[in-house]
Amino acid sequence: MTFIDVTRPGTQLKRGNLHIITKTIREIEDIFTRMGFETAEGPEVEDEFHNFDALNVPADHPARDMQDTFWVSGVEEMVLRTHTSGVQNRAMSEKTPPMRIIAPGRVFRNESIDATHEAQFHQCEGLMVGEDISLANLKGVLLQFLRVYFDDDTVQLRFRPGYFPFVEPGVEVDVTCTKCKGMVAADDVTCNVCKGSGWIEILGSGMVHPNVLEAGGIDSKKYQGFAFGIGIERLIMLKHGVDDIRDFYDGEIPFIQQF
Amino acid sequence: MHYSYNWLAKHFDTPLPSPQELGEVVGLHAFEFEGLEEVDKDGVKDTLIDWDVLPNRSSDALSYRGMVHEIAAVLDTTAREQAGFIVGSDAFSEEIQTSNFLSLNVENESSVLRATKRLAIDVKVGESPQWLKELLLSIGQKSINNVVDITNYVMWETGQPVHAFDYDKLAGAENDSVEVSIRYAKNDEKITDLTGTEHELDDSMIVIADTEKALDIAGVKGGMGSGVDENTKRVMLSVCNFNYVSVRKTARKLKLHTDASKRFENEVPIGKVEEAMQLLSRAIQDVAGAQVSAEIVDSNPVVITREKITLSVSTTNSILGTDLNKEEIVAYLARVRCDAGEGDTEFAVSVPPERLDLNFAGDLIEEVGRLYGYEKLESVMPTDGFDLPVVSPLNAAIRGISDTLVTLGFYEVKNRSIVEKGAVKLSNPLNKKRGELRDYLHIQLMERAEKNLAYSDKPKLFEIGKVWTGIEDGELQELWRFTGIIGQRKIKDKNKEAIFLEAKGALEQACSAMGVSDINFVVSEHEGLEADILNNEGKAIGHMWVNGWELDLEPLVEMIDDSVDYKRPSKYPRIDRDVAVFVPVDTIVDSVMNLIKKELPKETQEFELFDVFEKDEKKSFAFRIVFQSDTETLSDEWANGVLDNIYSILTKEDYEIR
Repeated sequence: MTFIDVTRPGTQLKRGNLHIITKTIREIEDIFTRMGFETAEGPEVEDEFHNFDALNVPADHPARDMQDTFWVSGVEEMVLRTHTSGVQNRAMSEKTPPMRIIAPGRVFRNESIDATHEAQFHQCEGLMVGEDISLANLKGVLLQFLRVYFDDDTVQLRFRPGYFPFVEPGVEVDVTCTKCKGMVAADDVTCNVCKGSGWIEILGSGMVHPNVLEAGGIDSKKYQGFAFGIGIERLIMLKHGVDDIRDFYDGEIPFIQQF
Repeated sequence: MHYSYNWLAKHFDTPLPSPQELGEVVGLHAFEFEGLEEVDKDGVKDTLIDWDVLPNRSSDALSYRGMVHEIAAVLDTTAREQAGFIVGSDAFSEEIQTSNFLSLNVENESSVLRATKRLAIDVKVGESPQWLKELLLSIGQKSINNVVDITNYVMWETGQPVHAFDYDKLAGAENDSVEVSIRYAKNDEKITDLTGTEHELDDSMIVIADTEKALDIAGVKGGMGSGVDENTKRVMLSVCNFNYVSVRKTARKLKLHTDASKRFENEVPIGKVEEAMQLLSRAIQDVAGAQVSAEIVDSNPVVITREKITLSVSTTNSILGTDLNKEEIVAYLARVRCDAGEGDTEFAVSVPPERLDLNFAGDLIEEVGRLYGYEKLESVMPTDGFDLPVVSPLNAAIRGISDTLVTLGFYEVKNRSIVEKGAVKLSNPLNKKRGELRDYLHIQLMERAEKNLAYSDKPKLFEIGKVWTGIEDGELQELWRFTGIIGQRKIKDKNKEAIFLEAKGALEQACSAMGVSDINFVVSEHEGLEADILNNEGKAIGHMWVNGWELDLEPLVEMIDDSVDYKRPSKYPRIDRDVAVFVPVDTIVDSVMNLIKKELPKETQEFELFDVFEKDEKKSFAFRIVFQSDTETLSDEWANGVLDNIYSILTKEDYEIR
């Protein structure tokens, strides 16, 4: 009888790994697909209309400063998109309500690069338009998403007034701190993630401004809806404890293989 | 912006919650609470509360009065608009007529929305009273003299920047006849500002000037020559409103950003001119003992009436997802000083003139919602139906490729889109090394593979992403690309083909996983490249070098054929035969296979190359052919006959059968 050493490590065909951003986008897509959202895609370089005007951000308005933008040379009025909202405008123009859309993708901001800021990062925007979609529905959908994504039924969210030109009311969304869960630590040390507040700001959202609906060819007297934008690196940093955003783009196997 | 707790508290008769509590409650209902800062300096003890006032509320809330209104709304309490510091009255001098001392000419009314001037005489410039020094100290401002400090106080208190000119320093003052004009600067006109910096202006910028020179960069900063000092006896009070676009552009060009320019850039409501002039005048009388003229020279004594906004109970509840009645809605609106008219289901609402952010029903609904409290909103899943989401072919293809490559041992990387050298430039680069859009993925991929040799002898990487190849007919060319590499320390000549075939194999498997099986590889004419990759129409869609590939993804997606052509497998036995042949060393396998293919009958199920070896300057290909019929058992004789055909064709080419 030949001896088989069953404790030897199995012979494996070595697997690689998907990038955590890809995995996260797939996870987000899968969660929202189950809620009936369709994924839409669009160009990374947008014209001014799709990146600003269609989103109720007029020229010369201080709100344009809220996002530092890269401009492309050699073509008129083209920018590296600062959010994926242009995709939503295109989707609205092509469809009739009710509609549920998510638009994940790469976006760009001209900001100094440091541990929490990169020139390119990823966002996932969402849009739901119908005859009586409300802020309460936004709460419902986001709460479902956050609970599934963080795999924790006890996760809570909190709305605070915020301002984005494309929504009114505008809402900042906080989620229960992933690290301390809002509870005081046994050693009384203040949580360094939420600074003791128990909440982490996680995304921006609100009810779509009528001007934005109209720019997408939707009758704002008949339809209403909500929109939200999630920072994907931010989500990953909160869920997995990554603390330097530059690591996502350095292409090192020891980083990629961990997720 | 940081707000002094003491200063805010002066507007309330009842004590406010603690700074932390106040910070938080306003944070939940109005402006994000960023934190507290304690002040304990020169006998002044105060707490600064930092709230993030965003552009939509910068017109009204970047001031103590504005924030006080907001606090009163959030706490549902009453506030006094006057802080109570100034005890002077509104009794001004009828004997002094401002228009006897100065005239005002506004050159461009679309840039200068309103300009007001008022004369004050017998001004006793000196040290500021203690309350004023303490307020300014709390917010980190220096005390200069009582008049300058008051202008500062009025700006912070009302949100309207104001200025005081030393009247006697203006041209014509010796004859009591100053001509003030608010005009465009001349190109290259210079002005030295209050802090001594000289600026060169151009004709897009507005200045306040006398007949000799520019005195003030309108909306941005005052000039040095006309400021108030210890010798000043007569003061020209100036409160103006400027077009926000103009101030913004000027501030940007001069790289001069001040507390005043910040406010004008966010639009100061025009009614504040009167409010601020009143407070400024009373304060000058009270604090500097001056006599202020009852007359205000005003370029545009406008009364603003805001249009009423129609709001409906049902829309409010529909947007918020609440069930409020009219009384409740009206009560919330009253807290932000909005008055509702008649009507049970729908009514007209008047808004305070300085709330420039309240323009349509949605803005009012936000007021109701945030004061009602978003924490009270239920979480309700929507109940309307939806069409089944469609998965795009591109998305499905990307998933298929990525999953296959991962199984084959590849790691996915995401590299930066903005690089040092590309085909398209940015007008505002990040820095010298990041100013162009990438036109290839493989350049960074090769760098990454090199670096990853620190962790693996054979790092396998891939990326799917967008590149920009240039501008054609004014259109930017943005494309999806797909690249992969098998990293190697050094590729020896004898291993070149093996590495190439491994990379090619991975690419072929990835393509087949997405339903693409008819890409072709031909020898490349480009230097440094091994193969060009062609689509099913013979068009080049990418390239391979020895250990990697890069190709356009969209043409691949167009080639997807995942149709199934089902045929019941035959029950009759299979026969296989091997054909091995020696060929000259530079013979490519495609040429031999194409020859053999012509001789293969319809019963051929498989025809594959299974071995290649080189020995003594001869190369051998070995093929396996499998035959099977749907209708009968094939015989050995039949198979041998087929092979004889094949052998004779090969021999005709001078190939040696093994």
